[in-house]
Parts: sequence; structure tokens; C-alpha cells
Amino acid sequence: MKFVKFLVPTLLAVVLVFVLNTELKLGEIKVPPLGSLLSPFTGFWQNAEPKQINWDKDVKLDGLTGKVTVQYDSRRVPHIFAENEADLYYMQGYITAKDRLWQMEFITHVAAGRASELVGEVALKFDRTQRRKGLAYAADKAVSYINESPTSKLVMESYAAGVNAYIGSLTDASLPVEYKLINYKPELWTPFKTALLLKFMSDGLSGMDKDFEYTNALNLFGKEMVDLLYPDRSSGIDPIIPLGTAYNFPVEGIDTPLYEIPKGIFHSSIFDGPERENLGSNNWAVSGTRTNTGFPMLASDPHLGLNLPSIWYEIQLTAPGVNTYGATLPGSPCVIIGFNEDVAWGVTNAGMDVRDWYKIELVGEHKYRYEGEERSITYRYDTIRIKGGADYIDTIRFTHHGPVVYDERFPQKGNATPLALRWTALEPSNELMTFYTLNRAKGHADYLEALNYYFCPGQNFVFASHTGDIAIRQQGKFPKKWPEQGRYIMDGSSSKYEWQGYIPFEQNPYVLNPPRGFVSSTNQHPTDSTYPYYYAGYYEYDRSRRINELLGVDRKYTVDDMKQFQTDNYSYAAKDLLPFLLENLDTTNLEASHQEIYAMLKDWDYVYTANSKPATAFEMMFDTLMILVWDELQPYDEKALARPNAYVTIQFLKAQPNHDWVDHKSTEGKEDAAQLLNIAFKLGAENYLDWKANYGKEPEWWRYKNTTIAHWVPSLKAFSRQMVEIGGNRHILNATDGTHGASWRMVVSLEDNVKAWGVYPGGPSGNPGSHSYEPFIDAWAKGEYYELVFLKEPQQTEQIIFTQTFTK
Amino acid sequence: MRFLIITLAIALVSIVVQFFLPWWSLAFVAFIIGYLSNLTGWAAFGAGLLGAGGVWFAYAMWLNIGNESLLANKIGPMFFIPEPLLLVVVSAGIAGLVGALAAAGGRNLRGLLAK
Repeated sequence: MKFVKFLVPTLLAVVLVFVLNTELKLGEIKVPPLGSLLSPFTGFWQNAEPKQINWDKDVKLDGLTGKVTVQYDSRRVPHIFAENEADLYYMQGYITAKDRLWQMEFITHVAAGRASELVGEVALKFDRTQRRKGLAYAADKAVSYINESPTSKLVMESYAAGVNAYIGSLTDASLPVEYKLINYKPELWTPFKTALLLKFMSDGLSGMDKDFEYTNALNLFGKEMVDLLYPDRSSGIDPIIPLGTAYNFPVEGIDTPLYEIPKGIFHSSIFDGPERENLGSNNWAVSGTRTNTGFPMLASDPHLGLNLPSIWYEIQLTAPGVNTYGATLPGSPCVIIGFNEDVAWGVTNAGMDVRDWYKIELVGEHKYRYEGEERSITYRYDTIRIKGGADYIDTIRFTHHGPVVYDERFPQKGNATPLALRWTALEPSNELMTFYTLNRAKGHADYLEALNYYFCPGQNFVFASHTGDIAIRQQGKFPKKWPEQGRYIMDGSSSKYEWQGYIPFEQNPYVLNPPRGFVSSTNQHPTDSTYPYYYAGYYEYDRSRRINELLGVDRKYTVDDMKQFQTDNYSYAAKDLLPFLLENLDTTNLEASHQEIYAMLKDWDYVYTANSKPATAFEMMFDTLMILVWDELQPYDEKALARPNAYVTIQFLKAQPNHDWVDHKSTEGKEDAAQLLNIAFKLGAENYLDWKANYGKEPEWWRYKNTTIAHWVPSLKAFSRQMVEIGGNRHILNATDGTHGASWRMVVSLEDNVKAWGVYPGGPSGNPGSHSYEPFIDAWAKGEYYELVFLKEPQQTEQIIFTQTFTK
Repeated sequence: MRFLIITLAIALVSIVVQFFLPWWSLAFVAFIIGYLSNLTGWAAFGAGLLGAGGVWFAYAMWLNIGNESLLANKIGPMFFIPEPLLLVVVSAGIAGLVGALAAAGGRNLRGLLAK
């Protein structure tokens, strides 16, 4: 009996400790060890930060050589003052990691194809894709290239050392909460990881092409339809470089061969993402001749996936020779979009197609055919570690074109054709030097020098200086191509299909101080058709027309104008389509409820305010219309096919209302555009009324749109913010749809003592348990800005709420 | 009185130990103090429950108040616990249960050896 009395509680205690200290699997859900997670000593309670900052005022860090002061302003933005550059980037690494370590590491794990280590076999296909695309391979090459420059080597290594100093200070208790929930530990940071992060950005911004889709369309529908559905240029383009600008250089060294397109149908299921029509950005600069201050103003707002913790981290970096402020990417040193006392700069995505596919003719296991010869294949064996499973070893072939992404080991659906990827992102580059140089730029010459370091992803760099210059250049390594080269999959066995070299940087689209008094870019075509080189890409039509209309008025602009334009909700798509829809609508037999919607739309000003109801109704009709028009592109679910963009669709319906493709095939008769618009109106109106009935709320635009700022791990919904009350949409300057939007809004006035304003949908802290995790979201949604605190030296003002000193 | 002293002893020693060792070190603390105590089995159980659980309750509560329940409101629902206070209680319950069983086990080991 006594033995039992001892045994039972003791055994129960042992079992309980064991269970609570083990990661459990309940169906699909993995539960971290509950004892550690719920312990107030080491668990998530430790991440429940008090509202007031209570950090140490003096900190010793071995890696420093001098004294560094870090001041936090009332929004908790750190202002770093160092005595030398090594210390500056060391502290940038340390401070950034302190707020954002988990996200930095998570993103680089994703980029490297290491998600399976965290979540298990569900991510294997994703990881294999990442590795086969070659991001880690490219980051590897980039590090060697970066190390050739002593400056960038020092910057990268100091930053990594700073991140590692922070990692070294972590205990079980102070680990970011995501590590506790997913149950793993951070590893050391390296320059390789910084390179990976930059490759991750390249992937997001240049990692798209429609080569498979276009090849399929060509093989299925013929050239005429391809040109109609996916034109390289539509009419009505308002390019970045003003219309009529002369390009005074000859094009040399491009031979257009007679070429053939590989037959066959291709599938690209793993690259099928959502249409990236929501990716983009705005930037512009207005000359001092047209501002109320007499000095240039610059605005930049990159539209990216909206995430928490935010992709951006605000910082001021000061050391002898540099004093700059702006948005940084956690994981990378330097300011990416920002300003200093003399200049300001911003970026939008170029969208130029820098990714092409080559069909590879394998000869046995180890060779492939090229120009009648057999060339050797390089192999790379990648070991993918899988949580809760055995390692997976993938064999990846490399040709001189690039990695063979698809082959028999990684086939497309029903098609094992080996396809190699040529992509500028895979080439060695040192984009960091661009930002390093811009951070220190004094004027226009420095800006041009900085850009020459920049290869990929192609960006439109807008620039303005205190001395009065404004400029914009589309910068990147852009391949020279013969007309239509790379639109379709190419024959990898012939040198005819090789890229023809790269466009010299001084011939990239560029304009300085144009007569119209402003420069702007919103992801549209960089030039008109007189630009001597052929190019194609992913271009926007509506935002460019809007911003150029707003900036093209002969008057003096103010900072408030810049803010208003960034948050402008006017839709050119609605302006183009809605009158056409309404004039074709048969209103004689409309039901009363539809009549009301008709009246609402008729009075609408095409402005997508958060509480607009016509915006919701119009969107529902537009979505329906796109499905009705492009039904021909729906049934091919085994093939990759692309839907034409909204701009092309509207032009097509107006120009060719009786075209065979306008007809909706599943119905008896043959519809023309007018009939289709009537159906779209009815179905859209039904949808609108259903939504209202289902949710019991007015279908205000923001409710229907449901803008969500999602945590990087989407299943961690509690760390996300849903239903943000904000207007705008893709193809609108305030380009906020459900998942993407202005990830950082910045306006800089380059007057004496530069002034700047900014906001982003997040907060400085990456800790969901901090009150600084998402404090800016509401201001961002309302279109409000914070004036940025730009300090010349460490000083105690009412804007500074906390000061830390770091010494060796 | 003795009960109170034992409870406090478990609480204080487990606090010190948990600043250096994993959470389950509290089981050893409760077991040893339970062994050294001359409480009844059930009293040792109670002392472990209140001593180890009380520490977790108080510490979690303190952190939660300083945080204005911000994080508890996000973590709780992941485990179907909508109330921050309930999450504090559940957390404390873990330490309490382990502490109680270990203390009772320790006490009863003494009973076993003392025959």
C-alpha cells in the first residue's frame, strides 16, 4: 500500500512532466511543449512586454571599438550615433535583431528552401522549388562578389557580428515568441543570410514570367490571339520617361534569328501564384520650381505584401561621413528608401522580364546538347532537412543557362521536359553598395554612381536633391533581346536563343530635370515605343495616368499634396469601364433592388473610399465580367494559361464588342459585349445583395475588401490584423487591396534642414506581445503621417524618450 | 503553520531554481521538500500545489498586468482559452499539478522508507 502511495503520484508527476515537455501532434496541428510555453519563467509570458521601456541604459558589447549612442524617439524609432562605420553597422545589426530577429531568420529560411525544417513535409515541394530556382546558389555567389569590395565586406560582416551579439545575449526566456510556438532556436547570422534576404526581394519583385502561359497560348490559339490577349504595349501608355524624349544611341550587336517555339503544353502549377497585378509602387519628385518651398519634394511608397512584423524597419544611421534616415529591410545593412541632409531617393519595381526558360536536350545523365556538341552538366546535391521525417536529397542539374528547375525528378504535371532558368537574379551582384552610396550621396553625380552597382531586381530610382535636381532612372541589368525574345520557352540547344548581352547602364531609361517639372513612376512602361531596345514585362496603366494628371497642373505643390496623392483613391479602371457598362445596360426591366444599385453607380465618382458602397458593387461586377469574358481560358486547368489584365480587357471589349472571344461559350446564343455587361451587372448586383443579406452589414468597400496585415506564418492569425478600415485598391494610387498595399509611405521636402514624413502599417517591435507591434496601422489606414525625427547629433529633446549607451 | 512553511519553502526554492533550470526543475524541488517535510500525503500534495502553482500564478499575473493582457489575448485563443485570467490559471495549474504530485511522491517515499 505504501509503495502504491509513493508510486502513483511519483509516476504521474514523471508522466506529466514528460508530456508537458514534448511537442505533441494533434492531427495536423503541432503543439509546442506546453510546460515550457506556459511557464512564466521561460515561456510566452516572458514576451508579454510592459508598456514602458525598461532596458539597461549602459550595455557592454565585445564587438564594438568605440562608444555608440542609441536614442529612441516617441515612436520608438532608433537613432544610432557611432564613431566609425564598423560600429555603425554592428549596431544596426544588433538593434534590428533586437526588434526583428525572428522575421529576419524566418524569411531567409524561406528563401533558402528550409521551411520543411520548421513545419515538416508539407513544405517539401515549396523548398525544392526554392532550391531549384537557385536562390541559395545565387546568394552564395553574391557573397564572394560582395567580398571583393572591402567596403561592402566590412559592412556585411559588421552587421552580422551585431546580429550575433544579440543572438548570443538571448536566453530561453528572452527568445522571440515565435521560436517558442514553433519550437526551434535561432542560428548564427552570416553575410550569406543578408545576401539571401536580398535574393528573396529579387524573387518577389522579378521572380515572375508568363513564358509557359504564352507558349501554351501560342500553341493553342495562334499568334494573332496572343498579340490581342497579351500585347507588349497597349495604346494609351503614359511612360516613365516623358513621351517624345529622344533616345540618341544606336542599337548594336542584336541579331534577330528565324526562331521556332517548342511545341507541347506546359504546366507551371508550382509557380502559379495569384496574378501579381497587386504588386507595385509609386514614386515621384517635383522640382523646386513647382513647390511652395522652392525646393524639390520627393514621395515614395512601395506596395508589397502586407505583413506583420512589417517588411520595413525605420532607423537613423549616423557616423562620420554619413547621416541618413529611412526604411531598412531587417536582415540587410543600410537604408533602402530614405534621405539625408542633401538628397532623397525612392524605388518602384521595374517589372522588366529578366527571366527566361530554355528547353534542355539531355544526353544521358551527365551531358546536354548545345550547338551540336555535348556539354557537361554540373550537379548540386541539396539536403533538405524535414521536421519529424528523414532528410530529402534533391539532385539539381546546372547548365550554362542556369539551373534545370523542371526535369524528371521534378516534373510538371504530365510533362517532364527539362527546362532551365536564366534569370538575372542568379548572377553575382552587390546591390548593397548602391544603398551604401545613396546613404552618403551629396548630389546627382553620387546618385548615378550608386545606381551603377545595382543589377537586380530592376527598380525605378527616383531622386531629388537640396541643390534642385530631380531625376529618375530605371536601373538593373537588363538583357538585350531581339523582338519577342524570351516571351516563349526557347530552345536551349542553340546559341541563337542566347541573350544578346546587357543594355549599357547609360542607355537605361533615364531623365534629369525634365521640362514638365516632375518625374514619376508607377510600374508602367519605362519608355514610349521609340526606345531603341526591345523589352517586355509586367506593366501598370492606371496609376501612371492618375499621378501624371495630378502632377501635371501648373501650380505650386505642397507636402500635403504629396500625402494626398499617395492616398488618392480615384480609379481609372472604373472611369474607363463603368460609363461603358451603364450606357449598355438595359434599364427597362430592372428589379427595384437592382434599380437602386444602378442609381448608386450612376452617381459614383470612381473614388474607392473605405466606406464606398458603389466601389463594392462595381468590383463585384468587374470580377464577374473578367470571368465571363475569359471563359476560354478557364477549362485548361491542366495547362498554364494567363488571363489578360484589366486594362487590356476593357480596351478589348470596347474595341471589339463582337469578337468571338467576347462570347460566353457555355451559353446557347452568341453574346456581344453589351449582353455580357448586362449579365455582369445582374450577377454582380445579386452578389452585392447576397453579401448584404449574409453579413447583415452594409457592403462598404473596406468590409468587403478585408485588408489583412498577415503575420509571416499565416496560421498565426492572432498575430495578424484583419479588417483594416482603408480605401483604395490595385490600379489606384492608394494601392491597397486585401493583401498588398503601401508598405512604407514617405514624403521628403528637401528644403534647408530637410523635413520628412512617413508611416507604415506596423510598428518597430516584432514582438506580438509588445505595445509597439502595430501602433501605426490606424494612422496608416486613415492616411495620416508622422513627422520623422531627423537628428544632427545625439540630443535630449522632448521627442527622445530613451537613450542607451553601448561600449566595449 | 508547518503546512505554511513547507508551502513557502517550495515556492521560494522553486523560484530560485527556475531562474537557472528548466521549468520542470520545480518537480525536484517539490519532491525533495516533500520528502523532508513531515506533512501527511495530502497536505504535501496541497503544499506542492500552492507552492509551485502559486509562484506561477503570481509571476504570470504580474507579467500579464504589466502587459495589459495584450499577449494573453493573442495566445489564449490558440488554446481555446479566451480569458487572459483563465490562461494565468491554466499556466499555474500546470506547475501546481506537477508540484503537488511530486511533493506527495516525495512525502510518500519517506513513508515507504520509514517502515
